[in-house]
Amino acid sequence: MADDKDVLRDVWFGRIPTCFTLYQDEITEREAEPFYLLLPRMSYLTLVTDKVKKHFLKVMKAEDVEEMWFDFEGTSLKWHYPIGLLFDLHASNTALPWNITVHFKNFPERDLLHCPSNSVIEAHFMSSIKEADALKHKSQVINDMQKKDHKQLWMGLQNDKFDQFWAMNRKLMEYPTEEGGFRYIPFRIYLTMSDRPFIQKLFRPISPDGHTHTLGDLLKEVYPVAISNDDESKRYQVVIHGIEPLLETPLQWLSEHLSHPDNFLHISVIPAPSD
Amino acid sequence: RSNRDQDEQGTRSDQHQERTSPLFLYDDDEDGGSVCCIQEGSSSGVVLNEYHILYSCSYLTPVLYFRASTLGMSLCLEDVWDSVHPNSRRRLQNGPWDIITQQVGQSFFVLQPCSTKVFMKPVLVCHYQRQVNYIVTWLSVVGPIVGFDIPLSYSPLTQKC
Repeated sequence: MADDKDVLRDVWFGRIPTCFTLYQDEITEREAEPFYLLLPRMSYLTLVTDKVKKHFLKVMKAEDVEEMWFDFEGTSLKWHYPIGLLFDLHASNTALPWNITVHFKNFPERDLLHCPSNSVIEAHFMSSIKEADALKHKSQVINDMQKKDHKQLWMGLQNDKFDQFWAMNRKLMEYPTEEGGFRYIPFRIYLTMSDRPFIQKLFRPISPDGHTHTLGDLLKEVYPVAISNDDESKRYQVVIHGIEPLLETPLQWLSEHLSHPDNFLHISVIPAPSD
Repeated sequence: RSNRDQDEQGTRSDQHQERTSPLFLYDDDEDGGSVCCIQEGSSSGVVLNEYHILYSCSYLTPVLYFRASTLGMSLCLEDVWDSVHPNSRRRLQNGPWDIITQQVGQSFFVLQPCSTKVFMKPVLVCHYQRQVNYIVTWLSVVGPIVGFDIPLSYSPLTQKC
């Protein structure tokens, strides 16, 4: 359907206006100006911030520079989470631009993983795709692909090439007609008010008696707290790519259209703003 | 269960390539795991390895998580890769399983589980003829890749469930 393809493009080309400011305690030779950048929601911080690094390196000595890392209002930003997820989770209801602090020292070993090169990001990305396919197709589709096909998925993401990416990714979005959907839906529900990083469980898009599962059905099953009763005021927002999809939306459709390039539905449950 | 493991820090290999693409795997349902800690003194050149076995609901197989540290500092993927036996390294490069990956939550490395079903299949076939201890057999395959050698004394266990 033409409309549905537009959704794929809207998701792919989503951007977040961001302002990068150097942490005040970093040692500089002169004042560091903030750096502005439109971050792609569907990519990863360490993949798209070379310009940020270059900008701040201009005012710093090499010996004062270690691995770059970011924080937002004191929370270290995990580079292995998609950018859009980080924003929805931590900065949804704050004013734009998104203000991120840049660090070059005191890497938080306990909070963050190191990212010494792009191959680390590629591996992480491909691992998610593989796991998603294990859930959707028992890994049959991804295993039938050749190494060059896997590479095409990564290059599409890295170079922001929608057509190149989806030429391959559409195979991962197919399913046998008689099944009505994927075997299980790859999703992760992220909570801000919890020690647990995320919820991930086995969940089918179609019930045994043929009933199509919705986003609401998923939440009721794995995180009922997120759904308020009619008489209560809404306590939580359920956000995917910066929007709150209707709870009646079929989960299979969400998986096909609102997944990240890694083929997972990354869902944020955040406190609703109190007006 | 404890094991002695003394690795020299060794020199970093310069021909470190893309093959060691780390992956991530996090499983919500952790159906128990055995922790195997290797304790050693504090002299440099000694590596502390920690192993956990968890169950992946996505892959429906066990998964081996591990982390290595020396003098309290976590080893990065390159260092871990350097400690993998050269024979295992060559095998890993060509698949069937890709990589040692880094794990979310806390920094663990994880052996990509997508090929477990493949190499365990012949074992499961045998299971119908004689009892097999899946975990011990599985661990004897994946353990050595990450420096965990199961002592031969475990082999009788492979015949009991």
